[in-house]
Amino acid sequence: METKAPVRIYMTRKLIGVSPDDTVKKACGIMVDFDIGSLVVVEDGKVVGFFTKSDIIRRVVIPGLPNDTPVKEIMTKDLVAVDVNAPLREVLDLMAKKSIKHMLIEENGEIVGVFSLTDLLTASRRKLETAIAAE
Amino acid sequence: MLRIAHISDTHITGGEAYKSYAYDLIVNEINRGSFDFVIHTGDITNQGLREEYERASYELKKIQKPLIVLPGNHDVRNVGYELFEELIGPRNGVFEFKDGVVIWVDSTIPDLSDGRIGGRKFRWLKERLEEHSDRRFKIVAAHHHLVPLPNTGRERNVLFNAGDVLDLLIRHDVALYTCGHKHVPNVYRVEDLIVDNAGCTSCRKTRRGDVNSYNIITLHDDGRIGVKIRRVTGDEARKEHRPIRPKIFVPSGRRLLRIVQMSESNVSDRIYFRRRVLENAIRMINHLKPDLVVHNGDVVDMGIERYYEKAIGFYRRVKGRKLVVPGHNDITYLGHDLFTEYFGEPREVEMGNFLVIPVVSAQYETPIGVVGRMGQKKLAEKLKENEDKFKIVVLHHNIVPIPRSRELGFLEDGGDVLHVLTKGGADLVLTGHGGNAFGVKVEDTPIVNAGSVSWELHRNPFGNSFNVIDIYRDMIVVFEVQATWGSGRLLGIWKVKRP
Repeated sequence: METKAPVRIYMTRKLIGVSPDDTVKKACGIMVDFDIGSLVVVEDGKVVGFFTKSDIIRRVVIPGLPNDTPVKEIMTKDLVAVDVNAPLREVLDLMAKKSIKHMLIEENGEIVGVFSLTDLLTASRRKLETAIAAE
Repeated sequence: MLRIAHISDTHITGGEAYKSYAYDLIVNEINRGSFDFVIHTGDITNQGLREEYERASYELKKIQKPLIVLPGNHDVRNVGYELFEELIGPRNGVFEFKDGVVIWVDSTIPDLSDGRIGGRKFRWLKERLEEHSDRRFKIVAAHHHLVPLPNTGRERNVLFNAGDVLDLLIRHDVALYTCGHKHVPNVYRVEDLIVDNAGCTSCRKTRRGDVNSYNIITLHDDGRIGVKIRRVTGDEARKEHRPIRPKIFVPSGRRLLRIVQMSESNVSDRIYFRRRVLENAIRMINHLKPDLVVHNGDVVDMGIERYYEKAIGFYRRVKGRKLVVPGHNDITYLGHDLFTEYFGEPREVEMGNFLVIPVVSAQYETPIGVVGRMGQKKLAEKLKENEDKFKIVVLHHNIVPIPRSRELGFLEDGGDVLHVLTKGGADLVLTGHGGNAFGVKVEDTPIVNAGSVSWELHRNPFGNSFNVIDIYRDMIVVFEVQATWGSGRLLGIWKVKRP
């Protein structure tokens, strides 16, 4: 895995999301169906929020909120993202320091991807190389 | 806005192959037009000879715009690659412009018509893409085509490692791949990558009675990319694409159909057949309760009775509706008869508004497949007759290049078949050759390849796997499931019309 390569080549660029008024229960169903640990919250085609499975534990389960709480009440609104051209090592460094498993990726001020530890595992196996000939 | 003239395959020579009037006509048009620069995607000469290079050097100077030129297979004949560098310029390089970059790479192999972007060149290309990652328009230019083309007769000479190159370009958000080689102008959209093939600018060898042409590429400020094929007759054909970013999918409604797709079980008593992995996969498949299980061929490793007897035992354990198309392994030896005897003729499956169309592409004792001209016609008619249905086409051979596999014409009429499928509005295509899972959307048609479910000789870094395809009202979601561990990963997700 080449850590100097931009994070764009390793990120998940097709984002799965919910609407702000969707319930936490629906969001959890989607997370299970799609086997993913985070969801973006989308309004008018723009990402306005983000949350992970651990956010649900912290913000819904522990405080004892009902599972029909709209996601807009528990999502992270102040989105922190890194640039799509940032080298992977910088992204990993930031994720390690912040101790987070998901990082939003932006391009020209818009969220265009998410990079998770699963993507890191995939990147470690799926190299961008060719075996066709050394030439 | 920026305009690029894309010429190719000039085949400049003193001989008959070169049509100097067509060259002059197109070059004059380019000189008069408002073009920012010109890309020539190779075969500037006909045989790579010194006199041809000298003349080409003179002819190319007629182009009064910045010019990028790269070598084609004809240019490297007779050690012409040395002359290319001496008289024309570097074989690989980078051209920067406002908002963008063109990276050109020599895809030729001396004295062969085939192409490849081998290890060192691939790494060089990757490093250039990393270096220019922040450019809005990244363009890669090479001579050989990346995706099979229609109307070229037998499909051949696509880059040997087209799958690896395609994967590299898509992951780097390359906007445009320009190429030539086949003398047929064509434009395909592969995910957000525009694959722009120029026809031949001034060679006598056009296909299907076509005339000489060149392509006009327009890069718009809002991100749109337009490609216009302009023939010397003045006829024009245009295509335009605007990449959609971010790509967001908001699942809604219930799942309408679940298909499990597997391939290359290669049941046999050979050491490479992983019996326990297949048994495990069948348990998982039954647990997933699919509406249909599709096997994309190579059910057995060889077409012999003993293997078919074993295979049918596994097949019977899979619950629910099933559709199996033969792969080339299935019809070796007596396999052609045995396949029908054990699994029956592949027949269409209709489920509500879904129509699953099997296409038999295997040929006797060769890994190269064919649908054939009559088969293509039948398929086109079937797609047309069922315009309102959600049409899923199932075949064994690849119609788009698969990463890590070597593309050596696995489907000899792949270009025409791909054209029939994309033009005919196939809503989903399932293939199962090459031993690696891959999913990509060409034009409006998602094409999903299954890796090998239980054969050790595969090319998938995740090991043996099968795919689960869930179709919703407005999207198709494809997961690859690891056949031993059951772990899943998203292979592709595409918006589709309402099934």
